[in-house]
Amino acid sequence: MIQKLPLDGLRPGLHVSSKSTPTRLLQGLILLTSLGAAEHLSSSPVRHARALEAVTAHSAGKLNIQATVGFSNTFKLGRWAPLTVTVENRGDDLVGELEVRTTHGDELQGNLSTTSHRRSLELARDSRKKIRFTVFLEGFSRPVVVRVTSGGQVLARQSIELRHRFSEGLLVLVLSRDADLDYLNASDGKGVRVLYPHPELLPDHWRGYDGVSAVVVHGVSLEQLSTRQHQAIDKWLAQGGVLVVSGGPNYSLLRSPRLAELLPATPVGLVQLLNGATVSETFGSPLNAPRPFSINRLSGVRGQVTHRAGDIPLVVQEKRGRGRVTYFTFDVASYPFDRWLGMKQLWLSAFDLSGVEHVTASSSEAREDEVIPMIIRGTGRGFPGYGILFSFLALYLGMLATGHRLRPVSRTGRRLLRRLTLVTPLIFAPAAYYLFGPVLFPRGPNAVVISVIDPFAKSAYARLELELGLYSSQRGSVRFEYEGLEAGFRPTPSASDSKDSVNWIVHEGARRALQVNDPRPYVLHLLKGQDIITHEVRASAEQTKTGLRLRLRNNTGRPLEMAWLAFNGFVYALGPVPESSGPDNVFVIEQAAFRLQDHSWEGALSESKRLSARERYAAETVLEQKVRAALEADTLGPAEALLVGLAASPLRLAGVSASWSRRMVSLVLLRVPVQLRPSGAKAKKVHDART
Amino acid sequence: MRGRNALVGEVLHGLAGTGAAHLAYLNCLILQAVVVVLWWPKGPLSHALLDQDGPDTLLAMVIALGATLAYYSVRAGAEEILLAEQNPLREWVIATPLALTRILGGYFCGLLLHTLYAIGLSFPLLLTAYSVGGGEWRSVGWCLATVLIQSIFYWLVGAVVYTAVGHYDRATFFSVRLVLLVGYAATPTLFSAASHPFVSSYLLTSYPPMTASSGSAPLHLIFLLFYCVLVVVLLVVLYALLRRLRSIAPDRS
Repeated sequence: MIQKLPLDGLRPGLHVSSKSTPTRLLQGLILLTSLGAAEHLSSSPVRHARALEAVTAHSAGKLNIQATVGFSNTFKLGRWAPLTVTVENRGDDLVGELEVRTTHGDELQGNLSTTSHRRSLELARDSRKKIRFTVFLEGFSRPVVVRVTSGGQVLARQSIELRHRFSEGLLVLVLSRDADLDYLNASDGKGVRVLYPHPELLPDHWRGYDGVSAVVVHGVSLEQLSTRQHQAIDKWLAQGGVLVVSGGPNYSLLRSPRLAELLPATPVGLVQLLNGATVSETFGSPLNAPRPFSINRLSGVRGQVTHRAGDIPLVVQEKRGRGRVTYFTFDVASYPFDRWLGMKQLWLSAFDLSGVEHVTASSSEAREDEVIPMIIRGTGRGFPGYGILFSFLALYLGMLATGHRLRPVSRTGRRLLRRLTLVTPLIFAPAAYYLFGPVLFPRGPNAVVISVIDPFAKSAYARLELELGLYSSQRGSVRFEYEGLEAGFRPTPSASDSKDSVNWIVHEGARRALQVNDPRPYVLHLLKGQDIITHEVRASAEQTKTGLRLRLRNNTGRPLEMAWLAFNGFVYALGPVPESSGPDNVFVIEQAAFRLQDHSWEGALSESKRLSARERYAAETVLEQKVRAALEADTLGPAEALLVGLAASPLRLAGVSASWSRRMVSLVLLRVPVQLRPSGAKAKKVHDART
Repeated sequence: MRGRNALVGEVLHGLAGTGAAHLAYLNCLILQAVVVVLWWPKGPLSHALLDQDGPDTLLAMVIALGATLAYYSVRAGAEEILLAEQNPLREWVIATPLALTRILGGYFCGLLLHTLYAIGLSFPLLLTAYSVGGGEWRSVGWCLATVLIQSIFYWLVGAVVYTAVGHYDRATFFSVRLVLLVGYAATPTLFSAASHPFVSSYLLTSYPPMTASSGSAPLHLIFLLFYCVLVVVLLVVLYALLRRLRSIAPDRS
């Protein structure tokens, strides 16, 4: 509406109809000009050199960094490796942060990214501190950078070149003061590579042993290790590590608590062999031993004796979870075994090195059938619909357009009407904020956490495979704080095949967090992680006339919300499984819930009251994908069943993430041995409940 | 009241007293609403996440707000839009003995209030776009600051043009529109830091964060500084024009 006020004829009336001329969005123009705009983002060479100068000036004489990567500065590419940083402060008291930055990806493909492991650092004057990290080393093209920062300033910096430090061989760690196993080293560098790390420098996390094929303990005790270091070896062993322990005259070391708990037998004394005849006969390789030599005398043999000299065990083995402990009851570094030609073959047999590289389970390749993208695809529209949008806009604009036409009779009504158009935006603004926000489309970060727990047989430990999806509907860096685990996460490319590289910050210490250095909204960040957790579930089953009888012990401290047993192509519902600190839970199963071939897991959780519709969909999708994958990949034998359970997630959102919107599904997948009925006995046909 | 500026009082009365002040801005609101609808996310949330292609609703709304408000301001400055019972600037200069500085000060405060009122009318639409647009409050705040300073600039452009050639209707009509068109078309190519769409895109979507096209100052600060300087220059020019106007106006006493 145009107002004109000709006053005293000074200005002719000006009537211009208020025709609005819509302007077109100049996105193409924005893009063109943005290409020509600010380009100098990263440091120019001159600026970088000056920064280094400044760092050097700071570090000279005040802060000293020494870092070692791997074992004796040797590691394997494509694996996690321990990195120990020693920081010495000769200056004033320091409160800052220690950062270890590794590089991933391929510069030529334009997907170079970094992962920064950060830990807070407090160092008093004239003091020194040793901090351990476990980092993933993908390639050697870029060095690992270690920095100490405080108040945004770099106080000290060190680069670790990786080109000459990696090994293609199979790493064997020898914990010993005097053993010399260099004869095992392969001449071509691709076979065994023996290293002699100091026990003090052993990793304090099991992932640090990722590139290690075997650990040999000779003449040392494990008591000198810290609790974390000992637990790291224990977990590494449970998930498939190989530990070889050598006996010897000083067998009291083998009776120290930690070693004694690991050994498959207890040394109680020494027994002499007069010559090497029986040993030669056992191993099939002549042993030149003109003088008598000692062998550990054993009691309480728990493992399997694979070689013996007469009735004297020479080699005892025991499985621990997925790993194995081998106990040589003789001293491998002393007469006569130190010069025995057959020792090399014995070592290789004990290491169980098939020559085939184990592929790190943490794959960095994303696939279209990844679970988290499937869960997100199935969550419906998500955004508020057009209907509600139209209604809101129509109401708002309608009130503005027509409100002034109302003609209230009363004076008060007319006075209020004048204020109405002033107040209308004040009413509709918060209404828009809440309606299109918390009511219809809650803003902020979201997390999808998928856990698959694979308990080890005869072990209190289980492997935990994690898939993590983080995204936010708002711009800003996403910081994901969690507790309950020390999983090593690695980003996977998103399923959209985007080549945008994203840098990650891993905050370690008391409050663990993952932070993505990418402020863009609506970007799904996918990560995979692994950990070994304490999660003891044991089960066994026997086939009966009418079905199955399952004995199940859940020592996890928390109940399984729902459980099923997959056997012979059928799935049997067990219902909730309580935590059992007492006798085992016994289930008598006679009726199958459905046949795997014919039905999916959709609807399997329809009776769950705890899960929301979104969580139910997520859980059923995970069940569908993970159980089928497990059944296809692991090829259960005819005498094996698969226990599937829904458990509470071992990873818990904490700190700023505690209020995030989330979908968390945690599955337990356990192979259960089934004692089959003797053949010839007729079993009653098991009915499928759906047929 | 000695302390209260009459021009400001006029604007306040026009905005709050009549109940129809928004009608001149209604077409702009409708345009902005159309933009919100057109740029509302069409596909499901999963597409946005898996394709890493979030909706541009907020950016489109901010650019539309900037453009429509600039158009509204340049017309208001050229007095094609006046509030109820509001007197034109020329009349204040010619027909009253008030000091020019007081008139100009009141005029500036009045235009500021009027612009803020217009932005307030757009707020529900902006918040609707914000909910799905993936922005953050700090960036939106800076965007609104750029919208405000740009609209003040164009308002003063309209005022200067009208004061200079206001008695030629068609000249004023086309001049103010031409200035707006040239301003919006030329700035992206000649000086991108002065382009509102470009700066809005920088604030809301840039990754990795861009620094500046010149020097190391953030783009939005360059934009604000640039237009603040222009506003000051235009105020000086307007003052000079009004002074000339008063000097050549017939004595009413």
